[in-house]
Amino acid sequence: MDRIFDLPEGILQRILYFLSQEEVVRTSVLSKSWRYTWCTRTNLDFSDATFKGQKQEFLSVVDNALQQYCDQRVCLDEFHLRISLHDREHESVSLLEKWMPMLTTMGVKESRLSIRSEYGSIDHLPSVVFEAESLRHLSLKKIVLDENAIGKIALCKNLRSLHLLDVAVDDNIFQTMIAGFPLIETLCVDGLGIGLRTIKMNDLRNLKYFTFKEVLFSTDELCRIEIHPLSLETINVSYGNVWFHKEANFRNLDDLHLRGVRSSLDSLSFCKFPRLKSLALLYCDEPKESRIFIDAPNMLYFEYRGDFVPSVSFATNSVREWKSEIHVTYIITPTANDGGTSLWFLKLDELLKSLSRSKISLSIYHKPRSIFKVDIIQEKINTVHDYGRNKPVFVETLNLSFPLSYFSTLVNGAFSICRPRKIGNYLGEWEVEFVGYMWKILMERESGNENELTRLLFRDLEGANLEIKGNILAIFAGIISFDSTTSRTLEYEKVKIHKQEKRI
Amino acid sequence: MAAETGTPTTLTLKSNDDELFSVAESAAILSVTIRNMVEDGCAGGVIPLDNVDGKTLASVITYMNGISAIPADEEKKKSYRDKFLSDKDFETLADMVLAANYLNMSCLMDAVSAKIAQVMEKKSVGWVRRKFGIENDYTPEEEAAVKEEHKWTFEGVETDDDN
Repeated sequence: MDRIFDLPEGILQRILYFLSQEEVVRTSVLSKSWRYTWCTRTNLDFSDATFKGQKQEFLSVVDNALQQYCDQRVCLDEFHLRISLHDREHESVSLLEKWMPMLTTMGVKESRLSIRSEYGSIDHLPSVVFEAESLRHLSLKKIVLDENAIGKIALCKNLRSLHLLDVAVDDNIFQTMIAGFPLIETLCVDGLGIGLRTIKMNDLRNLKYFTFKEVLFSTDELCRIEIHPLSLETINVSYGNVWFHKEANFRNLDDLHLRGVRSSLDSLSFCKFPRLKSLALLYCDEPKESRIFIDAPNMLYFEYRGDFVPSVSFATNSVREWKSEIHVTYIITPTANDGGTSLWFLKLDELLKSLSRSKISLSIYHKPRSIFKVDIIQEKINTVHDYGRNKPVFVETLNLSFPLSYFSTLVNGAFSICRPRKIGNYLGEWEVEFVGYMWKILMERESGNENELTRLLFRDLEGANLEIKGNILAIFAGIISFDSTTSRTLEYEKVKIHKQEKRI
Repeated sequence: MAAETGTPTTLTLKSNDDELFSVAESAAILSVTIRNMVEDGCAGGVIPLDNVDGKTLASVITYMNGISAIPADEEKKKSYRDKFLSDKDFETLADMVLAANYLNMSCLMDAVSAKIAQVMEKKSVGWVRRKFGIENDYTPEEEAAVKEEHKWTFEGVETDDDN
């Protein structure tokens, strides 16, 4: 019994819908009743990748299939095509010029095109692409968009998503183009040498996802991106300068991700983010001097990475638990006096306090690791004594990654402003060395050898657990002297010290 | 059958082999067919589902309960569907797609259709014929001609000529 063929036609159509084009065409060999079943499904989906360089065959297969659907008046709802162009062959372009109008004639509801240049050529987009009324999704790679390409863009008003990867386009053409896509929901611009210096999205009232990434030299001027649409749900900008509409209420925004932005982020303080769940400020130049206030009652996650301590504060809903992850690099030149370090920790203290309602993970790095010799920086413990003028902030995890020569400076600084529940997350070499050193001091103190350093380091300490997994035991063995019976049986071993301690 | 105020309403569904199933109304109305019955006030007693057998209905109800317990998160729903269908054989899938069609549950219908399509992917012609009970009524010459016509679709597919 041909059970699958006996399924009602609607169901069979639905099953065939999910097959790739070659799979569905191959069913014609199953039996006589399957011979022409493949060309009754309502979607066509071709990729030249399937043809492994047999370009001619690919073009004629697509052409024949479209012609067959057209001649037999088979209903075609969706048309997907992935094709590469090459500047020395014009056949692809002339066939695209034939197919695009056919799609319109056949009443295709939705088409998705993926066009790229190949073999090092950079091709111009044929204007016929933007003449297809059914075009919903367009993705271009290494293509030039010029005046000619957007000649008849008015026909293409149904476009929902546009992905441009390494596409060369100038400001005017880009603006004219996106103004022609009033329904666009997804806009991604990504790549090298894009050529764009300004993006204005004022009229894209349906835009939900915006991504911009540019690969640049550090001295290049960044693209200026004016962000207006209140429909936006995701904004992800890397190496562009963003300008937020002042006092805007981004009522749909869930995710704001900014990396390498050099422009001032002051305007964020005047915007409202009622739905914002995730905010990432990574290697941005601001807020270095200014303070940023984020009005985001529904924040769930904040991430900061950079080489200065930012001034950011949040208005969030106090009943919700949220997380913050701070990765900050400590850069103080060896000649800097104690004031620089004190100021650094004061700023960090301020940041932690503004995040104190979240579960904080704090990582402090030092850069560059190798330039300074051990003992160049040896700050006096008393200078860090009073960084945290008020109560230290509880921090879930504290990760420290720097040479031991910075130990007293950074550990004292960190401990005077925060109380970590856990120290060390990764098992890198630095981490092991650091934890080992820490443990050694702790053990010394346990054996009654208390000094000013241990008193400061471990004030308020309630207990200490050292968890070592078997495979790094060897590294630890050089730093910590275990008693021999313990280490031999150690596979997943906990060494535990517990001592209640009053604040000094 | 009348539910107390404040407790979730439960519906009773009857399969074509007279098995009875209780299911929360909130889960059952994933089926547009059932939702229409509820809205028309025909869901007071037992709802007979004449085109679905007990074994399939039990499975569909498992799905209804599982998927409706997941909040609006398309990713999680998708992974639930994938897991739910992962161990089902073709016969079961065919029963389910018929049931989903009858019950008018588009999400299950699409998931099962995609799963059946996935079963067919990358398989030789002989394998598909055996799996789906398709009788080959081509003569060897006819079959060779059809293969030649669509030569490109056989690149990289195992050939087996044991049919």
